[in-house]
Amino acid sequence: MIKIMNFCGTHEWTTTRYGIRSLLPHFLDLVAGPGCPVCVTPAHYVEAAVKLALEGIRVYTYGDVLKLRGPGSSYPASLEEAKACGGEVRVVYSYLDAIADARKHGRESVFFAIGFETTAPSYALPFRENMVPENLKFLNAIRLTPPAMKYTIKLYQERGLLPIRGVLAPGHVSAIIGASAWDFLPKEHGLPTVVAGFEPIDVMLAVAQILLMIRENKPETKIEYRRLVRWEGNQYAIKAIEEVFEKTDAVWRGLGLMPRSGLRLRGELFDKFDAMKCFGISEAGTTGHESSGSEIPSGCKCGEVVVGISKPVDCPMFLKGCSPAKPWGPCMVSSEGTCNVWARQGIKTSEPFKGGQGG
Amino acid sequence: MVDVCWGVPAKVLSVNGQIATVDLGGVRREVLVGFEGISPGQLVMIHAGIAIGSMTLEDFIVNVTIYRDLIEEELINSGVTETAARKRANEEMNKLLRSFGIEKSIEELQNLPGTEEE
Repeated sequence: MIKIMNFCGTHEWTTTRYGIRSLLPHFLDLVAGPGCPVCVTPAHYVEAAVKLALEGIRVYTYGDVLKLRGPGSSYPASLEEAKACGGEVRVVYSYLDAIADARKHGRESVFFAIGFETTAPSYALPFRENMVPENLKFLNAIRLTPPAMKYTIKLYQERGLLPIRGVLAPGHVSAIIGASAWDFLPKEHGLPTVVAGFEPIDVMLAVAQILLMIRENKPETKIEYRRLVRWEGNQYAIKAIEEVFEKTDAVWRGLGLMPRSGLRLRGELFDKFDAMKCFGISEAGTTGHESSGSEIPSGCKCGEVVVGISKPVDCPMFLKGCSPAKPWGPCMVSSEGTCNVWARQGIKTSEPFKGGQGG
Repeated sequence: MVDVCWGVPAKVLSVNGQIATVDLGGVRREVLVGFEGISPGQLVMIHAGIAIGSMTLEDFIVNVTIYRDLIEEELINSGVTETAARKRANEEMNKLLRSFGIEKSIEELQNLPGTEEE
């Protein structure tokens, strides 16, 4: 069995929606990686956002964050529930929209900033250009993808699982950070890596390129998604991110603390805008391991699903106590989450996937 | 479109410093400029309110199926029935195509083996 990881949630969506697994040879196991920013946002950030919303502070966020639950089963546990309880929750299309609204009403508000490197410049540029009003604080859950990939490879080794043999690197993240950011995979881990687009044919081509590299034993980083991705990435965006943010250790839900896998606002910006600091919320969980277990609701297997060790169907809650309409675990919330994708698209595939047991 | 992680294509109408006004299939939207060399008329990829890069018309047509399907996905996500979502996704996509100056409809472009819905 050859195991290939598709890092990105949109790749998982393409793979599942178009039934690509049913077309792949039986020796190939395409597993989903931790490429969904909503899924890996720590539960205590959600708890903080819910608390602020209930205190009358306007909380802005993206639509797919609304149903994300904090720790425990108390009510309200999500921003959607907080809204139902009269909390101030606004869904926006972008940070820019939140800035415009916060400027207009002038009261205390907070932006729940999740996302990977693709979203990071949408935060960095307004800060750099002094567009952010001081009443709009920044609840920062930005996460960086290469450290998570590194962590996942190590986790497979530590647990003695069938190793990952190739990686489909994320398309739009790489449009920012460049394909070069993944070159540690072939160089340090001997893993063929292909930055792929999101059409079914992109995923198929990337898988074929990975298999060829495995056969020839010539691991490299290749760009299949040439339509948007360059080797060196988008230097303009990278520069903006570096001017505004610095790398920091960060907690990933279900996975724990990963070194230099997050971004924090630099110096004065941090003092002025960081929501945790400004609202006096403690960074619980950054001490490490104990947080990773408790951040996943009881009975839920998202901690394993998020790194491709378990399939959604291996979880006893899947489509029982946990569904897209009423998600229990974080991987069921966003349309990028593996469980959500499987729940909504799995039934469309011509043949249910009966591949490896994730080990 | 309110999910954080989907990329969507749009056409640049005008650029004013850090802000570009784009046409997202008939909807005008202000987005941040996230790359150098942006200019009116360009096709760009929008991701959570920021233009992250430009692409050619040929590139866009290659991606046409997935954009349509993503729109449909979003609609179903927001509670629209599958049939209605399919119809609206096609309409939205055709608006987008027209805004890019493409006369062919999504139905014509998509008439490729393997891309039809059952």
